[in-house]
Amino acid sequence: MDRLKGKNTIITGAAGGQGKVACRMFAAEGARVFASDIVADAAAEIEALAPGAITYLAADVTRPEGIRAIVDGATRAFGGRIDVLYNNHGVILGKPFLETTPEEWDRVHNVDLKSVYFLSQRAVPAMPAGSSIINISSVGGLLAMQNMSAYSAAKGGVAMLTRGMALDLSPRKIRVNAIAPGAIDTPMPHNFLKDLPDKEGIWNAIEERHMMRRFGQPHEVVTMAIFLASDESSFMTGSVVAVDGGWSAF
Amino acid sequence: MPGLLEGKVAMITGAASGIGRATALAAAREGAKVLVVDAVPAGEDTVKLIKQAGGQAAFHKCDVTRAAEVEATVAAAVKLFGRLDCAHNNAGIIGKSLHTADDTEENFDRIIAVDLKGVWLCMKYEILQMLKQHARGAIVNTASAAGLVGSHGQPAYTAAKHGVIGLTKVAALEYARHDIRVNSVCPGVIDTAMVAEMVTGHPRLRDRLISVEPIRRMGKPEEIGEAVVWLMSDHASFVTGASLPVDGAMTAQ
Repeated sequence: MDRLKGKNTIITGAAGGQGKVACRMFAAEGARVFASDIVADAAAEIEALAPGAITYLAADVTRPEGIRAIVDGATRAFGGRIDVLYNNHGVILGKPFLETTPEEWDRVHNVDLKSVYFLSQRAVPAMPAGSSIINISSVGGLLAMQNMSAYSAAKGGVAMLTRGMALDLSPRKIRVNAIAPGAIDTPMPHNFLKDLPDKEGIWNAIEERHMMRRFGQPHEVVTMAIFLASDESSFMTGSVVAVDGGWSAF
Repeated sequence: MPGLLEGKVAMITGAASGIGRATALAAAREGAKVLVVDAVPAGEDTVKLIKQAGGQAAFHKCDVTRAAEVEATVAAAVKLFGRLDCAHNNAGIIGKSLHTADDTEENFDRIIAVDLKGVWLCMKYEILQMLKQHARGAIVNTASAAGLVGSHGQPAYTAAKHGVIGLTKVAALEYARHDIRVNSVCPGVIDTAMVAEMVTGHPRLRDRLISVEPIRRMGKPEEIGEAVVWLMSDHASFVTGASLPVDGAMTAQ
């Protein structure tokens, strides 16, 4: 239970379904966690996931002042050193190509792609050799799906950004990898489908796209993040790894 | 504290040296009972190392290009340890370095036999055994960065490694519902005897191999072993049909 012993870790999107599991599991492996999300009053709930090991700060990653607050707050809390940056935050958008508005494009790109770039950029000076950045792409960043063109552009962007970051940061010996999850059973897909007429049919259809015929559970993505955060993945950088029950191999 | 592979039985081919040995040692460290498989007797040394560290292992000699020997190897795992939960199909050769128009049938056929057909033969008998057990199985095939991109002077090796990724995806699809996961690991340039042999007599080649790695060093066999052990474990429960590059950003560029 100490695969991340002593690793000072920033986890964004900490108040979501994926984020809470990440905070709990990273802390259980010995990490010290600086957690952030846009949710204003989540501190008590998030910090209770691992008392003493997690500090929560509400901030907006799409704003420069939010990025400053997260990185500077974490750097201070950790005495100057950040070992792991887990860019777990993200929003989804399902809209036909002909209906997406410029505002909707901007929102999904600002949250899912641009903030990953600039949050990471600000964090790097505090990250020593051997540290690790983990980004979240998506199976939708590898393959096209109906009504997901703007989201795919952003998540595909994260995959390529990850590779570019890996190259530019390799002289500093900072590793950068991305996970491309399949459909994961968190509040996000439930909210995404809730107003659709045939949500059960769509849920089943999504299940069928996975070789494993099921949604993934959050812990199944977090185990990969822990592996990428740990020294066991010391020769991995620039990779985009599918944790998708076989969806993208099919 | 239970290890990642606590109580599991793992067979690892090409485990007398290099990546296979590293996986065998890591698997045993994580609590697996390991069948060390190789065509050469140095597999016994891997067993010794595992036992010295307090683990459980046995050696079985096998030429992965022969179906009868692969079948007997899986049977040996079951006889010695009672079952088969995980496998690392890693036995591989790089053969002679020859351009496409200079390669010989003998070189080409040998590389395909070991690196591609050998992987299929191992999966065949492993899967047959895992299906009998009605429990979770996990297979990891050693592909290569050369399974994703081309490799100068390695036409058969590249074809075989691309093929390993294809075999991985098909087996993953076919057996997902039987709870058998199949993935491949794609190592970059790793500091092993196979690579050392390849660069002997070609001093600039070693430097060139390192220069294609953005992280400016070869990988260590242990760095592949850790990834394979992780993929074999239940931590990878939602990972199947995947190709995991462990290559210092070589294929990112």
